[in-house]
Amino acid sequence: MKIEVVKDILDANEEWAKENRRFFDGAKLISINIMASPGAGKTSLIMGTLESIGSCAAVIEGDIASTIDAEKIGTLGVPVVQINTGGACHLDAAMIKKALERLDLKGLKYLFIENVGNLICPAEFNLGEHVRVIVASVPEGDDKPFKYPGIFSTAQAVVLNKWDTLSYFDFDFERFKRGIYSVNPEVPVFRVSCKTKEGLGDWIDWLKGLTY
Amino acid sequence: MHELTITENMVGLVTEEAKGRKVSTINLVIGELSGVVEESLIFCFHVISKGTLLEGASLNIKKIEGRMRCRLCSFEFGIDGDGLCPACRRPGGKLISGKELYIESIEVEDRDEDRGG
Repeated sequence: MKIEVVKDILDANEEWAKENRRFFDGAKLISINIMASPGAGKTSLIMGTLESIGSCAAVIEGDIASTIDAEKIGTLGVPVVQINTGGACHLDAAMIKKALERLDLKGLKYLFIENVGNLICPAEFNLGEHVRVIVASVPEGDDKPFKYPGIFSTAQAVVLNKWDTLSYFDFDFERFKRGIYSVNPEVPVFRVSCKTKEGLGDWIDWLKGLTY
Repeated sequence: MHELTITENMVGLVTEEAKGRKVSTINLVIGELSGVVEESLIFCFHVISKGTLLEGASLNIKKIEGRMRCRLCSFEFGIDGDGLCPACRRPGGKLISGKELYIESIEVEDRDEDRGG
């Protein structure tokens, strides 16, 4: 006997994500899911951003192990929670829901969620976020959008970090943009250096223009 | 290895739909851009389904190609090109398929009441 099902396999995660979204909206909190490969500069981007926008934000740090990133963020005096996935390659909506219970978010405007460093798995899991930001970096190469179209197709913004190292690598920015636009034609692409702070202003202006 | 999470979810959904009947086939639809590795999903399924009503069921996977539609001239094309519309050579496509990840249907063994007897 055949049974028609037509159900999204990630339905359960979607339900949790919807609940998180309702929470964010109720708290008037703009939530930003930051995804990248390991070492692209997710933590550096969050820190550079926090230094500029001040203490109106909280951070959820996702890593397979360690509290290194949460400790770094903690030095800036903003509320931070570390999630250790214990091997899982992505954050899911249920993990975020649990982490939210441990954060005092009163009066805050932004919640940054730093996903596990990975360009494949996190793309599948809606966390309930308002926007998805992909961080890439010059040393990784200009072919990343061609190799990982799935994650780039879901982004509301792309930040290209380590722009100050451009002269050391054969990185073709036009090719990089073409790769992104082939799956996501209207997404803004910001060139920044979290080390020299070059270009961070445009990214922060974009962030400040977001409404929930 | 997010295929493990995905497979667990799939097994949960199928178990619910099967309502205690043994499952013989699961028909899945997976898009090229869904980020799921078929071999990994099949491996996880064998591990997770052991000792359940899904054990031994065959997984039929229908793959869906990633396709774009040009916003300017409506031409449809694959995602393996240079990012420009092959017809009008301008950027500005919209993804129209490739992110599917769902259970289309399942086949279960008939029980007496299913046969009306």
